[in-house]
Amino acid sequence: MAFVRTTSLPVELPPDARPERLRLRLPRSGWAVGTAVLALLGLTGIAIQTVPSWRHLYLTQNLNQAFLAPLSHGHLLGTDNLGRDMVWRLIGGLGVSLGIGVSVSIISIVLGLALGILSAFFGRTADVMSNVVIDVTWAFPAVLLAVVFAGVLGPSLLTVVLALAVTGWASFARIVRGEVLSLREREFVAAARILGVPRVTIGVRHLVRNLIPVTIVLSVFFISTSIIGEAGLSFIGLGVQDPTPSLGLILSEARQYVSLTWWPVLLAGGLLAVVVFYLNSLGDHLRDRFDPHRHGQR
Amino acid sequence: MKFAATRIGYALLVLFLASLVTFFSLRASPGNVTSSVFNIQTTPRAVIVAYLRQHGLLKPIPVQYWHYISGLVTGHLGSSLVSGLSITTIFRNSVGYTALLAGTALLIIFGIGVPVGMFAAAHEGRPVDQAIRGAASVGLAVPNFLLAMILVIILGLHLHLLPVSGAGSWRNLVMPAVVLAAEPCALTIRLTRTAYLEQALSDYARTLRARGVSERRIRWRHILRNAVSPIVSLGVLQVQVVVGYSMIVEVIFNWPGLGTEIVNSILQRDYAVAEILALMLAGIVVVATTAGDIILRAVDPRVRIVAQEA
Repeated sequence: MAFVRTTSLPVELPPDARPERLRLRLPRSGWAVGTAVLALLGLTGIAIQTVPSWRHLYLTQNLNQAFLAPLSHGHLLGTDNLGRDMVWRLIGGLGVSLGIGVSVSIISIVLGLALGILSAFFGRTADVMSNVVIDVTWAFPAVLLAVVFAGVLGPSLLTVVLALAVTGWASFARIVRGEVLSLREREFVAAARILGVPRVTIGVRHLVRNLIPVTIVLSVFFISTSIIGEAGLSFIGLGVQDPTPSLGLILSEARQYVSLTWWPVLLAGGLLAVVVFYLNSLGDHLRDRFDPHRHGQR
Repeated sequence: MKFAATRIGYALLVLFLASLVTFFSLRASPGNVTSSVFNIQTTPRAVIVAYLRQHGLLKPIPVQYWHYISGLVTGHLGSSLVSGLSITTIFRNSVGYTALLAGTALLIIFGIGVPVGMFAAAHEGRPVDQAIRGAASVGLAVPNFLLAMILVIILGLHLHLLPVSGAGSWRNLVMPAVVLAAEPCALTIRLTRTAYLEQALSDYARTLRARGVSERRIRWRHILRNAVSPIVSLGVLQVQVVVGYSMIVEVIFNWPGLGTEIVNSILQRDYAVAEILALMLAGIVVVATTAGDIILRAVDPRVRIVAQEA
């Protein structure tokens, strides 16, 4: 095990490297409602892009009605440079952004869990090998990798997901490995071993189950990180391509005509910030709920 | 020593993998540099073939990889497939801008982050501390490109205080550097504050105070030196973040650095430029983080102990 310790970070950052950040505080029912609303908006956004007869909602262009301000007749939030309705563009964009976030999160979880458990639970050789993979991925400049990946595969939805997942899973694996290292010293694992439960079964049945809380919390943070990552890629032209909307793409397109009207920038940027802020707060909330040590703190 | 050797081995492995990734992924990509150089419909096939042969793009892929690596080692980097400029020239023209931008950002991060964090900690609980913590929270919550947009709209387009793109005078540097530094700076403020408070409440600080050592001396000589270890290890991580995000910030502000060159050459499928500049950028990050880790471990004995106990 010594090898592993010497190669990870010399000092783990203090657990409160991101302490008591600005966050939303809601009652428990508030979180349920908020998350339901977000999910509903996201699903609507995906639906209007998959059901052919609904596509006109966010695609219809009308150059006579470009750059309308919010509260214009028929366009609650105004229109963009091609006269497309901002309400539906934003809902569609939210759907794409959340979809990317969730997909990246799922891929990162599966890879991260697999390697994290492998590394911490299946002996020295597995640990060394998977740690090399994790550390190498971690040491590679993530943004550069994402940019190369996105540029290489040609800009598309799938590319963005892959580029973000390739860089994201390693930090997930690191955290999972740490969790498993502490879990495996627990009595119930020892008990299972004494009873002769095979290692794979212990790994899959007992460890994964105990990793569910940390996984849920992390995946919420991952969704928000991926949304920001997608926006960054779209911003430099390597992300989602028009006419598919995403929050980052709407923002980056709006940037180009910002001297004419800044409403779309404000709306897309505002929605992006609100969603990211909500997800981060939700993650903090879930972490507090799941972690008995944090109960009553702050 | 063993740690340093392992760490350097890792760095070499990362660089090797980085060269593989940049090289092969760019070759595997759909699209081809000829479409950005020629009009495919009107150019005779023979001209395109001659062009590909001239740049060695018809040789087997492993041979091309060998040329790429040996070129890096010997310094013969070749020239851009699109503009024909020598890559050494392109690198020399852009690396200074990236260094200037990243350097200024790091200066802001530590030159402002550490003193402000100490100041907040020294005034713990008072309004000024609350204000700094609030500001740091906002800094952490706002994505950097959003901050860029806000600054461009307000400072650039409405108040006409600062130019929104390009490079030339110090005025061009302000917005990109601030955007790049904002989030890491907020993080540094918080970390400094936490680390400082932890030390300020320790037994040795109380002892020094009881012995009548001046508060300023306690603060700068004793507390800061003990609090510096997490700040530096965070700093090592932040070099990676700053250099990585400098790509996006450079594109946003049209800053003529490495990041802009890399993104442009990727979009034009100019493999020759993209693969070398990308590897250079990865190299800068890897060298910085490796050196940081090794130095930190050498300087601070507690790091070694923590690492052994972990």
